[in-house]
Amino acid sequence: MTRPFDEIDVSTMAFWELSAEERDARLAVLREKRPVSWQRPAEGMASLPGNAGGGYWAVVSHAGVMAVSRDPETYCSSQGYMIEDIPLELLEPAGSFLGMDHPRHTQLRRLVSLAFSPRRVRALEERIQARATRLVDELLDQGEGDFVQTVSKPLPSLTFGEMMGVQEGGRERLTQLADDMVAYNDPDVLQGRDGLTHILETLVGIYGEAAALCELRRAQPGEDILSGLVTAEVDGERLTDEDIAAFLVLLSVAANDTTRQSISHGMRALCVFPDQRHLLASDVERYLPDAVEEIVRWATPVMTFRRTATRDAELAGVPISQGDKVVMLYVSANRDESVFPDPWRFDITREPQHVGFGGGGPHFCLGASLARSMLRSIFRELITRAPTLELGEPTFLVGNFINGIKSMPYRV
Amino acid sequence: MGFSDAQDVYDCIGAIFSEAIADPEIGPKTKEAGLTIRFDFKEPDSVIYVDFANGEVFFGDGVPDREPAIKMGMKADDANKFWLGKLNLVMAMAKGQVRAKGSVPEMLKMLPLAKPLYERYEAQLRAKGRDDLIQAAG
Repeated sequence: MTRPFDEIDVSTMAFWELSAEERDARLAVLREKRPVSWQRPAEGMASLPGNAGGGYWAVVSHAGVMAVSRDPETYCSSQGYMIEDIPLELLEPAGSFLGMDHPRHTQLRRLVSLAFSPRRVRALEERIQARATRLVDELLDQGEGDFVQTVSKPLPSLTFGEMMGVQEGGRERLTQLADDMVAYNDPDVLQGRDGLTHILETLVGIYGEAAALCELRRAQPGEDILSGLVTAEVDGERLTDEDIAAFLVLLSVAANDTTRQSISHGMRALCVFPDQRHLLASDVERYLPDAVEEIVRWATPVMTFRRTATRDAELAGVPISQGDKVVMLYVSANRDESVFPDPWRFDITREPQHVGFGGGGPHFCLGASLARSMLRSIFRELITRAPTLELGEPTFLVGNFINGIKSMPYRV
Repeated sequence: MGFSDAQDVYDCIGAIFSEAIADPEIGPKTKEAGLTIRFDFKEPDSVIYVDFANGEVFFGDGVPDREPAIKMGMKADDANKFWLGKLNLVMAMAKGQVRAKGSVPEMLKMLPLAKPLYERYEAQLRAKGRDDLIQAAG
């Protein structure tokens, strides 16, 4: 039996091209009436022509996203993790443990998890703060420019480069490749090419960087994550260059394209809601931790991830069949009125319970502590030292995955 | 050990294309995809041209002049690794071991069809007494 697709269609590119507020007006109806709805295959530039696959369940409520995230045995990651039907031949080399299930997921994630632990992040904090100070120095010196290029982009890129042991040049190339990779639905980036060719080219670029870095770190090991990975063993076996390259793809996208968006969206929210900016400025250390959580909720840098049902199940009273695709719309769950009263109000005093780092479970954002540290550092600087900072209209990235701001003019 | 000469490549790697085309499950899918692919191998120099639409495989001097939809170049040993499921194509392309020209979406349509053939390729090599090629792939 074929199921009818929901009349509120969240699969078209036209839907994702709407403004966030317009989009959410439709999602709000789904949250209220059909928190789990059957949707036709997602449109996009990275699906194989003539092979869009079947439909998927769109999970738009906070409770639904939490339930799916925390039940990895029912909702697995190894059969695809993107809303679009991107071929596994491209997803596997790009996702590393993001697209794996236990036990392989646990084994590989464990190899790098230590580097991201709150303790290790605390050890990095001083340097992150110094970097944030320097970036805000530059912002003030320049007086005007692009906020993304001046502040949002360099902070995570520099931090990631240091952690991975990637030098200048290589770091910039990797950041650019990671940026390009997630922009496979943006016409400005594609320039008439298809999304699959674009993804393959960026993947090949990152793999080339990875191969060179692996060789370098084997010869000259350092204190960085890559040096650890080239000597790491899983089940008595060394990781291959391919395993490490997939790690590098995942980490470079996860590190660069998420914190950056939180910084841009966060600063924009503080400008649009001046009362919250004043409140934060009135006692930065008191309000900063919860402000950072509200910024992540507000930004929701990763809008969607997919799972696949490994068995028949029920979600919010809706029967899910084995093999069904289930897409979590974090972008909707973080505006769920039942959890966040008046969700379109940016409020730094909210109780933090967003799903901006995922809804819990084994795939919860590995870099959450690091992201929080970077956000605290940069907003401490911006709030205390740039009280006259003003932002112009942002240019948004088009797509159904990353909630991106490509550029945004600033003036102080 | 590796392939001794071009004929050796055709006997081993060429045979797996013929098998794909003749397979009752995979054959119709490759026909539907309708691709033409030309492989230019090195060490030893050898050429295979596969016309999936018409179910034909050509070798060496018999390769047609017409332009294929996709062109691939690699060492014959790397093709052997691929068919044994031991070559990561993205890394091989990054390292310049594999060169590909043509439509990526078309290539991606074909790749999943190759996977079920890995085991059969290995079985074929064993049946031919070519365990050396299996060992050489690591």
